[in-house]
Amino acid sequence: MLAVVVLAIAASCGDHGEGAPRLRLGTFWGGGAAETLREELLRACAGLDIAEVELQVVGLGALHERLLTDLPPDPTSDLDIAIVPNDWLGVLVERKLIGELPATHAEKLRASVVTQALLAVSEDERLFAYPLNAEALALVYNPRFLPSEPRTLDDIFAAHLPAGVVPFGVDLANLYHLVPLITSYQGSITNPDGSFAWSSAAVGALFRSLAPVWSDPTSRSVSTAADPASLHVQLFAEERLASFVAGPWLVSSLRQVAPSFAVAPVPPFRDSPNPPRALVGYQSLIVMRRSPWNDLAHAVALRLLAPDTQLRLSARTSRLPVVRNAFVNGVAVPNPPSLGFLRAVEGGEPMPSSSRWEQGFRFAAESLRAALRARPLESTPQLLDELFGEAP
Amino acid sequence: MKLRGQLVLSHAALVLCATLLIGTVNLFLALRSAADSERASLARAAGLVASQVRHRLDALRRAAQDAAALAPTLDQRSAIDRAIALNEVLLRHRCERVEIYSGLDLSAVAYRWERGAGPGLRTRWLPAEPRVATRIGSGQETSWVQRDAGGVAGLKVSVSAPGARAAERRWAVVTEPLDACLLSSLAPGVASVTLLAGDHPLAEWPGRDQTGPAIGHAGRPGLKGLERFFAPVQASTVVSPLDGGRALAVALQTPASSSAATLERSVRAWFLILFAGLLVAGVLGSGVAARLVAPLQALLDGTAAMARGHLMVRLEPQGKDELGALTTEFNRMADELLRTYMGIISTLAEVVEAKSQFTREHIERVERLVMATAEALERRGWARFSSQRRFTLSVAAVLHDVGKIAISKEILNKSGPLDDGERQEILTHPERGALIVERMGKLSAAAEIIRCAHEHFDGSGYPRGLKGEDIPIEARIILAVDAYDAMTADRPYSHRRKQQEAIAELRAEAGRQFDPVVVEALIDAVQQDPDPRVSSSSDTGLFRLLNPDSAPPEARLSGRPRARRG
Repeated sequence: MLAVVVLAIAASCGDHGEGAPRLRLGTFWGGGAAETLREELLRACAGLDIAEVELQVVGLGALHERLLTDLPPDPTSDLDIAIVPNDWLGVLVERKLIGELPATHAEKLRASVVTQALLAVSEDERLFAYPLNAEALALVYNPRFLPSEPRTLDDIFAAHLPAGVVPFGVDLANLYHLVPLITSYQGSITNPDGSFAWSSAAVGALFRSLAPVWSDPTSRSVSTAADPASLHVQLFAEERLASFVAGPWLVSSLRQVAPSFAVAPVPPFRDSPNPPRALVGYQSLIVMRRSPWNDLAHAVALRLLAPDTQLRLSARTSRLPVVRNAFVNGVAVPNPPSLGFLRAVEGGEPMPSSSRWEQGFRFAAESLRAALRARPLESTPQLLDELFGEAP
Repeated sequence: MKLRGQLVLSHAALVLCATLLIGTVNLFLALRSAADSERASLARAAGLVASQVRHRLDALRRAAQDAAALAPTLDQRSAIDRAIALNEVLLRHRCERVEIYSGLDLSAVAYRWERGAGPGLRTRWLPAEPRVATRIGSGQETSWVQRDAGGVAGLKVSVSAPGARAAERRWAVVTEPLDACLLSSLAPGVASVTLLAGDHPLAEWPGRDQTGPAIGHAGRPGLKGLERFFAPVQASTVVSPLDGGRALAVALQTPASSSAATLERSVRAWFLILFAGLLVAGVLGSGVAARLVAPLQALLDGTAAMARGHLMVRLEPQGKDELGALTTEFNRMADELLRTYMGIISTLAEVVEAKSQFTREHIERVERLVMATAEALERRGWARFSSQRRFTLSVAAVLHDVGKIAISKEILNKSGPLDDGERQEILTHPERGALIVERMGKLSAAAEIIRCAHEHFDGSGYPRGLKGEDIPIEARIILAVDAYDAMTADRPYSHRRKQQEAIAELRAEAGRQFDPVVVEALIDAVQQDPDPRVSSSSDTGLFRLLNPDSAPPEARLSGRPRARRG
């Protein structure tokens, strides 16, 4: 009897809560998108034996530093799952931070996800991540100023706009935003061997064509502001900006503030030989190999790819879904803005997920940003000469 | 319910009560500890959240100061340039919205898209609170909260930029929407956050249509059920005084998940312990019950056997406790009963002795030799005698001629031949003896033996002329032994015959007067012990029972009486 009593005390005093699964998901999604993601994450965890889930919202740069640099990992902030652009995947695989998806999960993905999204997260038919949504830049314009879809950017510059209205805005320091325009001159930004293609001549031609943007002080300010996205949304809402290059993540904000807007693929310049091709990126869910809850993390990631989840994420974050079902029944394009971004995705250039391409792109982007920061665009002709070897 | 079941149940009930008591006390202590820990943890979290809100408030003040510094120069800029300049202020301080007022007119505005702090968040410039409006109008830095048309509260900071003239004064107003995005970023773990101005709630996260704080316990529906039993844990802290007399405060609330988890763990452990305890109680109780019930069962069996006339039943001593004393008293009672009966038998034997020419020694010799013959039969495997049957045989051997009490002494001791009437009188003594013994209760089993003790194997005996196996074996033994003793003993009217002659006579009569099997066993018994009439190492008869000091150990009933009771 005494033994039973002692056993009872010992057992009931013990802590049985140690070692309960705690999942940590890192994302650079901000604002309402993060809230939506948090809600879907909770839904995805329901029914699984997970004690706690945490959504860490970090900047894209911070996430890049955490995952792709040699800084010692912080054990207190180790992520189990993360949402990353698909062009990071090659480096992540090389660094052995992620591995091939479980075969059963890969089979389910192949059965439900569009092929282009699968290609973006695969190499040699091996899947390394769960594509979550697609995105490509497009032109957002005000139909009051531009009654029909602009066929060329020159048409926008030549449009008769009220005084004080800037015709076109683009983040000049962001190579990602310039890619559609660069490709209209050089065709593709990926070499046949998969490396990043950079033609100084093409970029020079682009900047010369963009002279209406950087030659006018007001236009230049709009396109070189510290936070162009916010400024573009505000000016567009105040009808001081006729058009700008934007991603689908801005649609929900534009719906709140802009009187009217339309979306179309970025048009070419009149003299450019090719149609512009925006980079098509796929935000992808990766499961860290070092996660102690690897199986649970894979299960949660797969649940976030469920058709219902995809449709809710798409509706509330304006990001394009990747499950076939969404496109079959048409819910992926519930409104014209989504259709415009979908056209941009269809005509765009998939972002390679190789580390070689990613390093080339990143190097070019950093060089461009540093050059523009070092030399204000007041001296643009000289800058172009230094950058690309010939004066405009 | 049987005693064994009751004992097992009582053990189980004891364990159940002990586990309940310990579990309840332990659960109470654990829950109290969990609640204290949870309250302390939430209080720390509230302090942390308050610190974050203070930092935001400081950032708003710095942004307002920067915007106010820009304000005098904004009039010289274009609308786009004003937006660009203010946009940079917002970016620098990670604020959502800044407005520059000239008097009551809005002259410039900038906002960021992430939080949707666009035109929809526009609020009335001057607050309804007169003291706050007065403070703003006087050009002092002011912080207050105000709701927009949609009901969303905003935390506002106003800093004035004095101009050369009063009409040139500008006010920079920075607004932080107290929306779900901000509140969810403040919420630590499982807590829900409410911001208050004084006692008046400004904003809460999650709202009624949001599902924020479920985070932290996703996938544990069991806990949600248990959490209903506990009041949520709450903690609040003042962040900063607001102009207008009220203070900005933050209140956190979280389900009592730790208490619920503790309860869940304790209940699980309690059930586990209860199950193990009941199992152990069952095993222990069964063992203890067996130990307690076995002597009682032996007593019950012994009493029942005694009631059926088994006077030889004795129980194994069971120690010094109450059960041992009960066993001793039972054995003493059985001895007294046996002694009483032995006294009666002895008295009857003495009456027969006094009335007939038979001596007490004859009766004793017959009894001893009968028992020796029975043992020989057992040894040869021809018959088996239990202790009770042996006792009955012994009684019958002693009293086989008790019927002679009713026969007149003259007929019994007549030396000459008997006439027919006398012979008929003599032939009635077995029946009379049986009738006497039948009235003696526990000894009645010996009556039938006595009645048949003069029946011959070939059917020529009396009183009923039974033959062969119809005659009880005990009666056949007594007949042969009585004849042998009569032949080998000294009689007033005849000479003693030698043992070999007597054996030859027995063999001659085997199959006629005597049972051949019994004759062989008798001869075996006689040859084993040349003079068994005097003593026998295997003597278990009445005479030894009447003298316990010389008696060999009697077969006793142990804890398993049925195994010993023949």
